[in-house]
Amino acid sequence: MSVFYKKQRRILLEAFRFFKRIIQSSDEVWLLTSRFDPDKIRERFPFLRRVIDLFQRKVIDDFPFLDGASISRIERLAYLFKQDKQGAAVLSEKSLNIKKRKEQLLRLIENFRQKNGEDIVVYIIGSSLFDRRAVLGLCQENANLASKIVYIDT
Amino acid sequence: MMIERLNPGLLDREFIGKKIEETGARFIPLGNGFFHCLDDVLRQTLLGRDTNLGIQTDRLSDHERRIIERDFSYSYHY
Repeated sequence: MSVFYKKQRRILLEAFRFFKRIIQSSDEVWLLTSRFDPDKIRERFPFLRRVIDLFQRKVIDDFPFLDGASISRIERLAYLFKQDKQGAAVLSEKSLNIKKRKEQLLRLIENFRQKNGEDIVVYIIGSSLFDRRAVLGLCQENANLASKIVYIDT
Repeated sequence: MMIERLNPGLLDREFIGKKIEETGARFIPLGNGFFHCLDDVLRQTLLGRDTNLGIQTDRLSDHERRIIERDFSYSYHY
């Protein structure tokens, strides 16, 4: 989901409204993104630092990058809507592998379930074939969770 | 219409959507993207419980309905 227009200069109003409403209606929200974090690339692969620096000003705000500043900006916006510093997190290491993506979802759901008990409903909003199949695998392998999951396919 | 039927993305959505529902989970497909369907989603899920839109309880899953009946003493909108 993109709340900001390209180059982060203007906010897309429909996306802003959606983001605000979902954050306010949920106890916890996780935004999983598979975009690359250039800060982490610099840290892990120092030999790519110059290349990342070269493109920083030109393409870094657009797909497929999402840097630490953008993530902080999204989290700050979420905190503003929730009126506190809990309940919203941006996770920038969403796997491109369906099985790993399913395991990531399962870990998040299990943590949430441990804190909140059995009476939870998990709304998963996804759009790609990978999200859809990860959710299918998750439901097929965890029959006790399936009835608590609502998958919204955009 | 024919093009839509032949769209592999939509076919996959329909196919996987059915399989997801067979497991007991709920599947909500949106055609025009999420931003344009926000009110519909709020009406069809517990996400809309604090709005004045009204939740269509007949669309909720059994689990969602149990929660709303128990926790929110909700007035139904059919």
